[in-house]
Formats: sequence, C-alpha cells, structure tokens
Amino acid sequence: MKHTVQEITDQYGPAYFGRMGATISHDIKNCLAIMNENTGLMSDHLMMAQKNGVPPDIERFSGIVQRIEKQIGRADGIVKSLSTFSHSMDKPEQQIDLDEAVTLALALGARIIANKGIKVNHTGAAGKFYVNGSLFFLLSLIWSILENATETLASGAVLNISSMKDEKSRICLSFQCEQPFVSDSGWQTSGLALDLFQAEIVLDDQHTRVDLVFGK
Amino acid sequence: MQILLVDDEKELVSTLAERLGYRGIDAHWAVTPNDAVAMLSEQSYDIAVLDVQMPEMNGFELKERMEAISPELKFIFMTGHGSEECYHEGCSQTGEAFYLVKPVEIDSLIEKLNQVMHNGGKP
Repeated sequence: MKHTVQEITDQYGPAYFGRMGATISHDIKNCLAIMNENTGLMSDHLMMAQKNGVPPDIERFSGIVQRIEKQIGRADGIVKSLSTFSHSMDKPEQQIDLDEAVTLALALGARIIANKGIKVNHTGAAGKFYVNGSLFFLLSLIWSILENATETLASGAVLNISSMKDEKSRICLSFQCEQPFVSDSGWQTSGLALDLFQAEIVLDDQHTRVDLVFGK
Repeated sequence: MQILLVDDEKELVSTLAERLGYRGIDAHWAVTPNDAVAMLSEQSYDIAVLDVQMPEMNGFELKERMEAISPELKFIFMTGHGSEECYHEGCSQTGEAFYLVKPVEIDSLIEKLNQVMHNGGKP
C-alpha cells in the first residue's frame, strides 16, 4: 500500500518536529543563560570599579566580550539549523545531499545524543550522493535510526556514520558501532518514510551495522 | 554558605560561581555529575544547584547519588528544559519554587538559596 506524503506527515511530522524543537530550545536557553551571566559579570565589574574609583579592567572586559561573542556565534548556528529544519517541509520533493542531511540531523539532535554519552563520527563520501524526496522526511528517517541506535548503545560507545555505494551501486548510509546494537526491533518504525524514499533498513548478522539503503 | 553548581555548560557555572563569590557566597562548580560526586566526597556543601539534562546522568539521578553521600544536602534545580515531565519530577523533589528555568537572575537565585538555607527549602 502506497502512502501519501500527507498521511505520513500527519503520523510522524508533529512528533519529530516537537522533539527537535524541544532540544533546540534547550540549547538556545543555555546560550542565553551564558550571555546573561556574562553581561551580569560585566555589570558587576563596572559597579566594583565605580565603587573603588578605578577604571574597569579592560583585559578582563575583553575576555568577557569574547565569551559573549562565542555564544552569539553558537546561537546563530543553532538558529540556522532550526531555520533549515523549519523550511524542510517547503518542498515535497527535492534533490538532497545525503551527507548534508546527516550533518543537519546530527546538529539538531546533538544534545539528545550527548546526554546519552554516545560519540558520533560522521564521515562524508568523497563525492556527493543525492537522494530525491522530502528533506523533512529524510531528516526524520535518519533521526529515527540514530535514536534507535543510540537507545541500544551503552554510554561511551562510538557510532560511526558514513555514506557509500553498496555492491549493487545503491546509495547507502551506514551506521556502525563496535558494540552490537542490543535489539533488532524498532528499526522499521519509520516504515512509511522508508516507502517514500523507496529505501530499506538492513541490519547485519552481528548487529553492529545498520544500513539505510536507497533504491530497494 | 557553601554551594556546589553542577551544569555541563562550563562557562555558565564558572561565571555564576564568580558572581556569587562577589556577593559573599562560596560557590564551587562541576561540569559532570561524576565530578560533582567526587567533589562532594571531598568536601561538604550546604546546597547543590543542579542542571536537569546532563550527559552521564540527569539531575534527578545525581540528586539521589549526592543524597546518599550527604543526606543533609539541599537542592535547587536550574534547567533550560521545559518539558512537563521534567517540571513535575523537579517540583515533586524540591518544590515548585526551587525548580528554576534558565536564564536565572542572580538576585532571584540568591533569594532561593537563602530560602533553602534558612527555611529548610520552604519558599
């Protein structure tokens, strides 16, 4: 049975969007909190300088300004990712650079993965691999595999992600870990999104590698 | 008053500790739950201010670990995470008044620290 983009959107869209929105807002809150403390610290130094009748310590101020600038850059990066994510449903079908989509999916969910204590290494292909479809659903699909993989791994595990072509020249996104993924259940949770991309998920016998293969 | 601030955002806890120091509060900080547990094993603190979402373990789990080491220790949660689930969990553990959402004004934090210190955690 072929499902429409609308049916899939209705079923998966809000959950993924909400999950990413929550973690991104948390990251932005942290940037704001750090900027808040640093502007407060500048204010503290100004008040102390005024009270003691001495000029403010310029070197110290410069260090604080650099810390604030760093957080502005960090927040800008987060908001750029959020903006790309928010526009990912604008086109129901487009040509998507697979490694760029992985980078964005990782940026959006970075805190969730970090909180699980999992380190992720993403190695892009030497050339570019493109898949056709909705960016939103590709992100959702990549995330569902990432979340499933990180759920089953112990803290401290390293997950390696790489894009390649398989022996049948199909584009493939591979998720590998030295530890086995604990369970083989739940990998097909985004079955409808898999249909959209005519993709399939293949788990190897050792349960240490999951491939998202396009063009089944 | 001896305070231990725990948050995986180093620039947040280090700056906050410095600012509390200017106000006469001896504040130490840790960026991982395990570091916080190690520090608590070395020295006693009156109040721990904990982030909720951290790698290794969340703030609620860390609170349990710290209580096992120092039963008299009091707690405030300070989080950027606004989920209903976290809110209810945090409020059930410390009371609604001591579940703070970032960014937190320092005067407001000091008021909460004083309340926890002098009123046994009652606002």
